[in-house]
Amino acid sequence: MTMVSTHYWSRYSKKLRDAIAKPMCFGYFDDADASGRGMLLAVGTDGRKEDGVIVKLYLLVDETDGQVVDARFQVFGPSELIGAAEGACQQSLGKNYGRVRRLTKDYLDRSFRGDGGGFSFPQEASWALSSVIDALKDAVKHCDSIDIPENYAAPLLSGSSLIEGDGYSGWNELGKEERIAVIEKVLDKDIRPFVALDGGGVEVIDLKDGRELVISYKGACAHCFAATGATLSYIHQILKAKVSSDLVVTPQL
Amino acid sequence: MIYLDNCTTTKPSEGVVGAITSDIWGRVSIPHMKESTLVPQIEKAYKSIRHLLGVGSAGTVTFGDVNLSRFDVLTIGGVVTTEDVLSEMTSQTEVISLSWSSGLTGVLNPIEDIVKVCHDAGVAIHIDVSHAIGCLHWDEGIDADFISFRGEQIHCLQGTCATYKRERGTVNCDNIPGLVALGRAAEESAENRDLMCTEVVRLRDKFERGITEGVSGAVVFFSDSERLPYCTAIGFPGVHGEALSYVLAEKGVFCGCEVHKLEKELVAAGIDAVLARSSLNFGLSRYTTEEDVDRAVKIICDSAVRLQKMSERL
Repeated sequence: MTMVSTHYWSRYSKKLRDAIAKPMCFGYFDDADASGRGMLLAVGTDGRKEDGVIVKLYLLVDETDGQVVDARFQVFGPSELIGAAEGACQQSLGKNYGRVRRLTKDYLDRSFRGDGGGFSFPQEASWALSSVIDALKDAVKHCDSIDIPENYAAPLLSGSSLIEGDGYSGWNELGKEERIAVIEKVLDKDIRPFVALDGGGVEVIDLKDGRELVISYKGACAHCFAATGATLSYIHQILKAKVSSDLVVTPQL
Repeated sequence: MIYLDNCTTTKPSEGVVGAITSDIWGRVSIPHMKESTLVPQIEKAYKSIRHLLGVGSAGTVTFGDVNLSRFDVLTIGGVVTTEDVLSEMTSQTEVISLSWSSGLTGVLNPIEDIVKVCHDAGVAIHIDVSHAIGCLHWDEGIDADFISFRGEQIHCLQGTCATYKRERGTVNCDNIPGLVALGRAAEESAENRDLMCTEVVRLRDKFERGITEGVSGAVVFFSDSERLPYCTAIGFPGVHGEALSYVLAEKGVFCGCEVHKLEKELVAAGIDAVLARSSLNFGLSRYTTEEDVDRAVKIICDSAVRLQKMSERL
């Protein structure tokens, strides 16, 4: 194993390098752009140019449902901040401002990961994710007057690659506790980060007969219609693909 | 790849690499007969290094880095004036250690005046001439007590270096391959001094002109100061220096990598802090071609203009 420590640029993920090289969302919106498109302009900033680092995010928000329909950024800062700002804009698109407010560093980092896993932003660069998250929070403050429709069903993740898989190899040989540990890992990686965007959570209650998984919903999921519909179906598909096709998921209501 | 970070380290020349053959090994201090056959090569190497250092036959020139551990040393970095030396010196100071020039901006320190101030105060002086040695002549000699340079700045191998000291002493022959390589690099460096002061200056000036014409507001620092012929430091208003250096590296143009050190040095020289952060330094070499310069200028201008747009509202 090599012990050479490289400069952190060489540890950026491929997707992050592409985003820095060719950001799609750089630019800005002004009041005329917003009123021309009948949208609310929500602007958020982190940092100060006088201190040598600043990011400013411009979100165009639909006033009928709180959804971010377009996003742009301005950055004066190092490469990682350009990548993080691009990620913040891309990941805000199509989400309502409530979900945008709940975006996390981990969620943004994940959006730049390839199949190899590992962090997209090396530790030395991860401050940039915190910075754009703060700028997003600053921006969505301006949206509080917009009501988000109550029965809002979170769109499932785009990209079907997540729902592919042949199950966990050796599943049949595992005991109950080991099986629950495998399920917990998949929940942490592929389900909880996304459910958390809607302020919800998922917990394992029991695994009956080795195949019937009983879960309970926490937070916003506990009284959301989608929790027994689209979200449950999504959880079901992920677990079948990544754990075992025999699994049945039952929410404890 | 267009390598413009010759301030940090340089590519070893083919002559240097070719000078080290499998016959060159051993130590002259041990009683085998074999090594004595290498004495002519050792002497030749030292002659070339002495010639480059411009110290004639005075004092001792030996392979290896300067060792000042037995003294109370005050090291002063960056751009240094005689006033800095006088104000930082204490009654304990035995040796002042500094570089002839900044390797980032290329600005030369007033070394003759500094030597005089030190000697008047009874303090010895060490000068690191790594960045300047390949392009400045000082045949009349600098009256320093210690002079040293690193081979990696003159197209030699990393880890090679030589030191002059005023007092007579023994000469180190423990690393004969390194010494032979450094001798060869010194020879080539002396042969190329005139080129560094003419053609490389022309290319550096062309490079600076291209960038100031292509990037709105771009400013060349210290263009009126006495500075090294291959170095330039440029401010790109509205462009974060680190971001530009990243984008350039992705496109195969390697600028000076010590952006934080450069920023500090520019701020110390009174340059606005945000402009200092928007700056990069570049170092050409005798291997830089006109085509390199033309291509680099185009890539740098395109990248900087794009980054300016990324912060136009800030």
